Amino acid sequence: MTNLIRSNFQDHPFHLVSPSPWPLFTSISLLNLATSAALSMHNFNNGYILTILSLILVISSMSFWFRDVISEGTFLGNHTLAVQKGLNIGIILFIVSEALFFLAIFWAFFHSAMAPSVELGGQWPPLGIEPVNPFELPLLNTVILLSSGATITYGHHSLIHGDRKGALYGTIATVLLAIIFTVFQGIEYNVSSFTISDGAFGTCFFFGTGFHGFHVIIGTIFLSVALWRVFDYHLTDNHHVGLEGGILYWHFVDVVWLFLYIAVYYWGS
Amino acid sequence: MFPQRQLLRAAPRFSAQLRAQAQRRLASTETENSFVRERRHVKEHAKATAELWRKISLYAVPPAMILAGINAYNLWNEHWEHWSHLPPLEERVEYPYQNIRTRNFPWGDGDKTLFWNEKVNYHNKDKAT
Repeated sequence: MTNLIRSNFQDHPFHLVSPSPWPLFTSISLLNLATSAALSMHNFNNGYILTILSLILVISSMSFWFRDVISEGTFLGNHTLAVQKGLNIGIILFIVSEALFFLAIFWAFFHSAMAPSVELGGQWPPLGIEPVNPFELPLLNTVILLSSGATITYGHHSLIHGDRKGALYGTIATVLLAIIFTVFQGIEYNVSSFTISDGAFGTCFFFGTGFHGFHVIIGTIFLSVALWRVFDYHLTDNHHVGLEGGILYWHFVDVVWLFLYIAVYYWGS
Repeated sequence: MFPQRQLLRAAPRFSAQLRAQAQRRLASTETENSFVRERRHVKEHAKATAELWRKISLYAVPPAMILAGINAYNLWNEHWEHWSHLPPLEERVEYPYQNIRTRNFPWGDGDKTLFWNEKVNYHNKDKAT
């Protein structure tokens, strides 16, 4: 339905959503996830089976919901300019809440690292712990993440200009760099001489880098969906909210890494 | 009197119809207004920026990655060379804040962290629950 036809019977540009089960499904599965995760962390019998089931439920509800949003935006024409603006504000608010989440993680780290407790010998890193060399894999990973910022800008601006090939090449390169980053983080985790159970140092390190890695994986999925939608001609030069959301999210993950690199890897070692 | 009034009433309608014909625009006709102008400007601007970031992606990214890769490779080898001269894991001091176990992990044998590596992580069997 084009906007011209729409304006014949709708006096406003907003999307009046049709009834959908996904908000309720998502809410219930999120409640399940939080409850079963808390229970299993307190040694509730078979709690982790419930946690994994809830996680599958959350991911499925989200996938079905986003599938519907893609249909509404791409094929039903419900995403008018006003609706796109609203979606953008939603993405920005989501990223702000994520920033505050990472603020809490950094708070935990600085709380432990800036005034190390007597139990840690009053020093950071504590004796007997060999931190990761920040100029080894972490530096390479910094270069990879910054490079992915360049390639995604190439892809995005090519799409705006109407250059399909450039949009595809730029986004493919970004997704590949994202996967390489995750592989290197996996290698680093595997050869790390300290673990998550090595006191405040191990806990804060894996708390911060682990949640960052988790966000990198989500960002990779976000950009992969956008890549598929460029490939499938869903996105146009002036209407590509999904890709822009993914790019914004990716830059956010990139910035969090820079803070992690400076604070946890470099200063904290 | 009557035709006069009718004429008076009809006049604005006729003029409106005339005006509509003159002002008629097809949806496909690109006319110059601020919205169209801005969108065209964005599109033209994107040509130059896409080219700039294409060049950065092609000519700055690979060398930077190769340099950082060589550096990481050298430091990696240095690290393992240094590691080979350290005493075996069981002879190193284990401070009270290391290898903390308060309850079993929900995976594996319950005693190993998620990214456990036998070569670099000391398995303290006394702490196994």
